[in-house]
Amino acid sequence: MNKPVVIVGGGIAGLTVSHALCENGFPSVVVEKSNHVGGRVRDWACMATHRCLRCFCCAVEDLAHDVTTALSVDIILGSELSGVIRCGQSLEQVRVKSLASGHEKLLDASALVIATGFEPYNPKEKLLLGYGRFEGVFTLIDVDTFLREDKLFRFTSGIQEPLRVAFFQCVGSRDKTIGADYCSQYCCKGALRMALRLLENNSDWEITVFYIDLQIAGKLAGWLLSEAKERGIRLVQGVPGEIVEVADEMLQVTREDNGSNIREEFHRVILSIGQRPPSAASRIASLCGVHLDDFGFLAPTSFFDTSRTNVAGVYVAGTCSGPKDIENTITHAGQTAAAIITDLKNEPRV
Amino acid sequence: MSRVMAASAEKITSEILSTHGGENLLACMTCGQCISRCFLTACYNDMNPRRLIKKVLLGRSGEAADSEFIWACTLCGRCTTDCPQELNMDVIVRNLRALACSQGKGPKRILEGIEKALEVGNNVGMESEEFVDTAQWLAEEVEEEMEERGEGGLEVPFDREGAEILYIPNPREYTSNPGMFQTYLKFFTYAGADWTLSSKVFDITNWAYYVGDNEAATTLVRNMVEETRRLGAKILLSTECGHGFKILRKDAEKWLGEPLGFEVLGVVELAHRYLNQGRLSVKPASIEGTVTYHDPCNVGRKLGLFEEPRQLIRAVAENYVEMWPNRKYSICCGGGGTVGQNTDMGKKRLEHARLKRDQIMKTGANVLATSCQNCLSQLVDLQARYDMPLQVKSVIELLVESLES
Amino acid sequence: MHPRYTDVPHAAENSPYPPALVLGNGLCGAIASRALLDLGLSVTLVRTSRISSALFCSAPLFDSEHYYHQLLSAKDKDLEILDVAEHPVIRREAPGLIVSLGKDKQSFFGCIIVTSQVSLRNQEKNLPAGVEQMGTGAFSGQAERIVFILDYLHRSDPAVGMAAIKKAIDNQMEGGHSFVLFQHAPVTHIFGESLYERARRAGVQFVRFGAELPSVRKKEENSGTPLKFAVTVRDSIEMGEQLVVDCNRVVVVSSPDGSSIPNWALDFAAHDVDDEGFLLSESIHCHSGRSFANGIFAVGECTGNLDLIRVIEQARSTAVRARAWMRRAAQLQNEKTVASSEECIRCLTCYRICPHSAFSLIGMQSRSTVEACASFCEQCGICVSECPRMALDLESFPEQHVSAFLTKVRQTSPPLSMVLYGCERTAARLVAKIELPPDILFFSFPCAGRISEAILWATLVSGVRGVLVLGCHHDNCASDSGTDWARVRVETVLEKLASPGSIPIQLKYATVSAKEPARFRGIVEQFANSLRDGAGVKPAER
Repeated sequence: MNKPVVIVGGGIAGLTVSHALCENGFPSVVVEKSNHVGGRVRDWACMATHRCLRCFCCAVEDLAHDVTTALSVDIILGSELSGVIRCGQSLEQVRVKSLASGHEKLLDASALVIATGFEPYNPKEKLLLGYGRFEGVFTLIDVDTFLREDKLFRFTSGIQEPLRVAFFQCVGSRDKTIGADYCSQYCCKGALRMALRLLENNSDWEITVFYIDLQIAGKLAGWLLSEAKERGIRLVQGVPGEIVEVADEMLQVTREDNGSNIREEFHRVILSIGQRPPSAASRIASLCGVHLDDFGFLAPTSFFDTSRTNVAGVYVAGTCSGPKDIENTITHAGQTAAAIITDLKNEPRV
Repeated sequence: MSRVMAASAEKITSEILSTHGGENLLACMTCGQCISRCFLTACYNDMNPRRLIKKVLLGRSGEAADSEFIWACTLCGRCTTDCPQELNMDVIVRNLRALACSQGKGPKRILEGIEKALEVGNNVGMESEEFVDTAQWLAEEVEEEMEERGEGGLEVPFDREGAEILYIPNPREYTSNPGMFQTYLKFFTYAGADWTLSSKVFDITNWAYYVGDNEAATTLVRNMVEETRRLGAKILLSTECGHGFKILRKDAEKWLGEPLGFEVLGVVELAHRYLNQGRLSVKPASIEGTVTYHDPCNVGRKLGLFEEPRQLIRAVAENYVEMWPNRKYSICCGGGGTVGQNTDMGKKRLEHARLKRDQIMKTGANVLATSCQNCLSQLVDLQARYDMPLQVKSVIELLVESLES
Repeated sequence: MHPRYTDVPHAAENSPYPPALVLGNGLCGAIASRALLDLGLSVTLVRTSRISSALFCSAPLFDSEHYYHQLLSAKDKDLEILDVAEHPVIRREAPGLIVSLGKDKQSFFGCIIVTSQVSLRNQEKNLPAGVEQMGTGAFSGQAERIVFILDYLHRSDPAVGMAAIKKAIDNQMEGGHSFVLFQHAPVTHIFGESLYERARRAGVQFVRFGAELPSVRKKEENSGTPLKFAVTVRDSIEMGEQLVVDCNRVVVVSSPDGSSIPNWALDFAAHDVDDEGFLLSESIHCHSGRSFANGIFAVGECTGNLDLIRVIEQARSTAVRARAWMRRAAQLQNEKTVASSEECIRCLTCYRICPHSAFSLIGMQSRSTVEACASFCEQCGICVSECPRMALDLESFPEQHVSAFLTKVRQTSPPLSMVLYGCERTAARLVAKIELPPDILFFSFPCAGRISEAILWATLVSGVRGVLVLGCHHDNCASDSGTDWARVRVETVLEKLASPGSIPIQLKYATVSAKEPARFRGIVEQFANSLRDGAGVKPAER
């Protein structure tokens, strides 16, 4: 009897690991707590303008299709990890529990992958930014979801004149006060893509991106930056720390512009929120014995071995081990599959 | 001449770094958040908190010290609230002020006040006898009123050893705003407090702190602490004051390097305690109309006392409405940190407080309450300057009004 | 339907995997080799010159030369290292590639991983002699005052930038004074921010400049000071007066130069490059390391990646995909995917345009024949639709399917208002989620590139009022250019339709992704509505 690899989390990381294992002849079981696979990326929009902008969101569609139709992959929805059974050093089985019925099931496991994703930072606690208080303040993920559902009117709310939109970068990232003193890796390019996408159908909007340091690297990054400049997107160093609602629900910031202090108003502000450790991190860490890093993410072994953990047979994939964008998540998950195959000593189990 | 800490522009960075709370100066990543949280950014075209920090980091502290900005700053700390690198603007500005003073550029009236405090014990230079006389006379003024209420004679206790509370007032109470002193007298009487004044130590303020003269600031604190110990009081009670209270509560033990041996309370805190103990028979809704509350920067943001004054107000007010933002994010009234006393800042402080004015007006309240006498003074001036249709009262004033209604 | 990787029958494997070939002289080649070896594959590492690598400079945390030797030093029976004088030549032969490694030596490999190195961009404009470039060799010495300049003419590579910050800290700790002039501070990885913070707290002076670049002046030879350079920069926040920093050394932090990728690497990868010239346009094969030229993978510097941690992840991820690819290639090797008829005139169009390099030339005469290798063929059908003689046909999707559909369309009564064409990866999945009205029919192709001009014409005369062709977004097609082929053909037909005497009919090309069901519905509805309004392509006025 060939034991499958059990993958906790059916988002893009979990699906990628499953797919890579399956391609190599290793069966897997994907355990997902919601009632569908695809995770967060499933709800995010394609950012294409007149060309693909490499947001990599469509990868989840391809992966979900391939994995759900693959013969060597089982998918268990509506369930979470509830136990890990070892025999000495080696992993033997895992226990999963149905969230609806509470019924538990034992699964044979040759390896366990944690791919539970990240928790988006909730900017409600940054009271001065007015999220949840002012009508016109949204997060990057809010707007991404509106675009996906083709419901941009939830963002524009019937404003007739050309919108003035501002992106605030690093909300909930690079921030000691909330224990998130790291860059979340996805939001600079994410904001630029979204800005270009919004301009594609609304060329008269005025878009400003307030940043601390633009993290522009990787495929198409240079193009994104130059295209943004050419399309008139204003890139301003320095992120306002307070939004004031003035007449007509306009959102006002006081800031520095090229050496002078000015006041400026926007219709809408989009907060680029950071990636925080998944809500299940500590529960899973204690179930498996995996260490958490200083920020609360599941800790990989080292910088040169970012898929294995301190526990033999337990691996991590995707943002549960640290913030990433989708490109890097897919690469990382591919590495996780490689680590598993290496450790199972290259014997195809099917 | 005041013995202000000698400093030089080159050394200022290391001075700041070695001051408690200043160690994060180098960590600034110029994120820009502080710019928008500072109420002065809209008032000065070419200076804001981030700029100030950058000047210091680039070795241009002299320029920074020369600016009016550091004297217009009220040390409210709102800029560095939520600073992602946990900087502390208070330390930076005070060190720059010390530099300015050492170059003879400090505001005259403030420096004179510090000298007086060091020589005589209070920033108005009033001698002990005169204080005792003034206090007793103020008590006599309201004695008749108190007797009619059946409260009996109004004794002003001086130097009572073993009293539970040593009360240290703000010089305004015995100079420009004596009605406040009477209010507190009444409060102590109605609450049946076991208290005393000191005939020697009767100024809660610490102007030396404002200009970064840490040595003198420590001396002033030591005087108050030693007097409290001498009288054997269990509580050093601060009047409704901002920085003086904050320093005693938060900084005193660090500066003196030893535990104080007694509690430091603000009079609003004490009132809150008494309210919960049932010692204050306030009447609900006895203050008519709508009251709103201004969180003083020192009492609120720096000491975290947000709910006590609110509970007191709600116990007496007909209606209560919050300003937005409030509590930790309260906007400074614009009068603290020497600005109210600095004649060089003149009425500019009222121009700088227009944001505060707008915020207050938005609430529609007819009573504006606060728990700091600096704020009180500034807000009273603000009300007059902009003809705001409301009254400005301290929290204890409202309490006493309710008790007497 | 062409078989996807996951549908490959999981038969027990009797034979071992063929060896993998890794090409590259540097650290990336070593990392890729190790990644393959870890998976139990055998590897031949071919080097064409001495060991060097731009990547050496970007590892801030350890001794990368030592790491290189560590990777390859294990006495691994599965690793063969060859140093050759000339670049290899490849030829496809299912299920892998035949590689000539020199005179008379031809070897078979299951896949090839390209790890060629790149140079850093030249930033020397307006800089005096003696200014160094970060990364051209080991960084040593205890200079007293060093100025690092990032983002000088181009954005700096973040990995090299972070290495510079680390060196700035080291210098500071040794009693020196470091200055970092930048526009954007790189803070990649979970530790990027804390590295940056550590530098600031250590006293490294960071100055952000704006559009005005810093300038460097070299002092005269006999100025009597070891501080040879004067760097002038204006802080973008403080503005005001410029800062002038005297220093011993000036180090510019550059970024990899896509145009420095050697031609042989570009040829291997069928010129599948991104907009900066780096290998792998990586549309939907994101970070599987696959190029569109099947069987060829790329890892490391040549893909524009100078970040050591990311290169390691990329190498291992690519290795696992390469292994899977070899598995599939072996399974499919005896299959036939593209049939060629006698109509073939050996024009070699299919060979040239196949995005997956699936065709191999047979025969060395002046007119070779071609054959599609099933191991490499993705069965997109672009070759079929471009063949000038219509000599080709896909085994899994023969022309008959299309003819049968068109017959059905012609026979439908009342006539359909619209035919919708699209690919199975995108349009088919979108259509599956909605209910098309009975007067609209959808037909799925393996790729939009299979929709030939002939098919469009045939559809136009079948009685429908409109034809809507849906392709994936430009640069998002699984066969690279398939969607663009569809667009070109639609445009060609439209152009011809605009001439006099043509029929009033609507033809439209639109792009969509599987992520856009709402937008897809909108496109279809809008087109359907315009058909009901009776608009059509009008003949041109005489």
